Amino acid sequence: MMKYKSGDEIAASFRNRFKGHLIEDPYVKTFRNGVKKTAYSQVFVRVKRERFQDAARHLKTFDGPHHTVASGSDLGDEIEVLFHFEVYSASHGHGVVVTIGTRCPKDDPHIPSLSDIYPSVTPTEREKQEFLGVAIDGIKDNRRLFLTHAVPVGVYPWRKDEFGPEKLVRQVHKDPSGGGDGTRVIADHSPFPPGGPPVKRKGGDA
Amino acid sequence: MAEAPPYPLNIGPIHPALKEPTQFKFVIDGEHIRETDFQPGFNHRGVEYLGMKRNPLQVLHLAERVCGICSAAHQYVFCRAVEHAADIVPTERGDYLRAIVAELERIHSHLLWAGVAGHELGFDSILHYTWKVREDVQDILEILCGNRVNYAYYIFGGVRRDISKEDIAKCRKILSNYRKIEDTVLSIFFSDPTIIHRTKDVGVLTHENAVKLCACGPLTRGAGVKKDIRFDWPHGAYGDMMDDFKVVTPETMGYHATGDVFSQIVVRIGELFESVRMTEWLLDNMPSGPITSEPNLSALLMAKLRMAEGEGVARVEAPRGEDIHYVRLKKNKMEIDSWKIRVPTYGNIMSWLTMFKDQQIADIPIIIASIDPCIGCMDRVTLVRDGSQAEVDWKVLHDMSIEKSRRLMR
Repeated sequence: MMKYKSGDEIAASFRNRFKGHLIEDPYVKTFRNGVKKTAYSQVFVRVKRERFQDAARHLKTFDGPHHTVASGSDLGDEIEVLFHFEVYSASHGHGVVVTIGTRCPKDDPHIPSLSDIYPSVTPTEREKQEFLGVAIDGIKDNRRLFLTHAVPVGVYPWRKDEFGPEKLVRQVHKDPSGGGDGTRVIADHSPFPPGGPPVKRKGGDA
Repeated sequence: MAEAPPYPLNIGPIHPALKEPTQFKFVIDGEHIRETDFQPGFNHRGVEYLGMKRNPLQVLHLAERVCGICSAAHQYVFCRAVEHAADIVPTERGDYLRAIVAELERIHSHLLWAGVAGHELGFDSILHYTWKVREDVQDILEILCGNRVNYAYYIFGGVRRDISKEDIAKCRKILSNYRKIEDTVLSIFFSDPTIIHRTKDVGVLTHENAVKLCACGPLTRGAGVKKDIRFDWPHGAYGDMMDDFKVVTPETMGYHATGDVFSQIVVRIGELFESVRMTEWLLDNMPSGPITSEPNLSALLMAKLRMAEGEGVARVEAPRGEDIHYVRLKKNKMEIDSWKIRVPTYGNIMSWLTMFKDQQIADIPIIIASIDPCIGCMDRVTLVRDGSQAEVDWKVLHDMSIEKSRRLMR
């Protein structure tokens, strides 16, 4: 019978394997609900960009990794992308949610793609490119996914800096896309201008 | 001379088998589909962006408007993500009442889907029958929450309304009606020759692809993968039900898990009546006590949510599959710092595309409908003018609104 590892054991495994390449110490949150107080847990692992793909591969040493989605945040000087997984999925009670994340500086907004390891990540990687202005190197499909021409290339809705949508939101009644008659089609192209994703130099100048 | 095959065929964005905007781009050779591409985004509302401008109590009501059918699932999972971030523990009775509404929502959603599937097959008497019996579960939801959709039932730490003894009796009576029709519904869906001919070996998702492409919900269970968040990650009251209930797959219903549309029908109809039994179990075993751990909303917002620092992931098994929210809160910041929603349809896009391979054009509607898609969930105003694909912006809408007002004033 399979031996299921706990959230603490999974965190320790990442701690030992990626020593010196971690952004923060992996940590576990465990919750107990209901009358029987059955425990279930989630693990957060943040590794440096150069070992990010290795960390995603390491997750495959645990049985049944199931990818769900990637979330992303603008942290100020850096952009963070978190990929949420579950290991021991379909195990009737032993699943552990594992989040593996990495960060990149805004003057080099690139993170490696996980699509060679988990084929299901492509839609969420497309979404991260268009919403965060971060290039996913090695992405299998470079087109936008959700955004229309209403959001011009170069505006990234989840960015909290000058590349964010604040100006666009304030002027929404002026039809910022310059669509003329107000009609626009879905964008079927890269979320980045020809030079690549927006580079924010340290000191604030774009 | 006409161009040689294959030919492109666009379906959507208006009413591609379902009344929601999304576009499929097929490459066809004769009657057969060779390639498929998918374009969402026609109705993206920027819900996450809006959420990051609001405090958690405000977002609670925004979250349930992500979807009109699984609105309880979104509110439930958002509550739990915030609880995980802010270390709020729900009460035991709250956990049970949450699960009751979640299971009732599954009953109404699966009945709604069963009707749509019948309609796509040209079998409208099924649509009329399932939507008629769906009214009963809507009545229970109205008794519990005061509303048929957008229940506003969940709150951080529990739920907002308790259930009285009289209402429990009413719920039991309605649930017993579902028990009475179980055999009829099973025989309609599992034995009718039209349904069998139109759904067997159609839109197959293999077990291998279901695992590789991380499909979720009844779609993956139809392929024989026993993924169900209620049992995999036993949160809330579901942790107490682990011994009494099992994941519903075609095998548990006495069929082979072939991953075709018929397998999905078997899973959804099986789950529908399993949810009836689960709701009865929850009513039987519900503990007494407070329904929420923090009834004072000011204290909840100012003392707990505003002072919280942390992040949390939460998942629930929505009727259509896995619904996951990620939330990050910062101390002394009223607004949510980061929020990501992933709805079940989003997780099933990649699997969907493989299901069309080498299928016939006439099967496109039922394959589209088979995963029970919710584009409104995934996207977040669309108009066809002169047959061209176009989107309406604020100015055009505003002009239309003025025009209509003037017309009415004449």
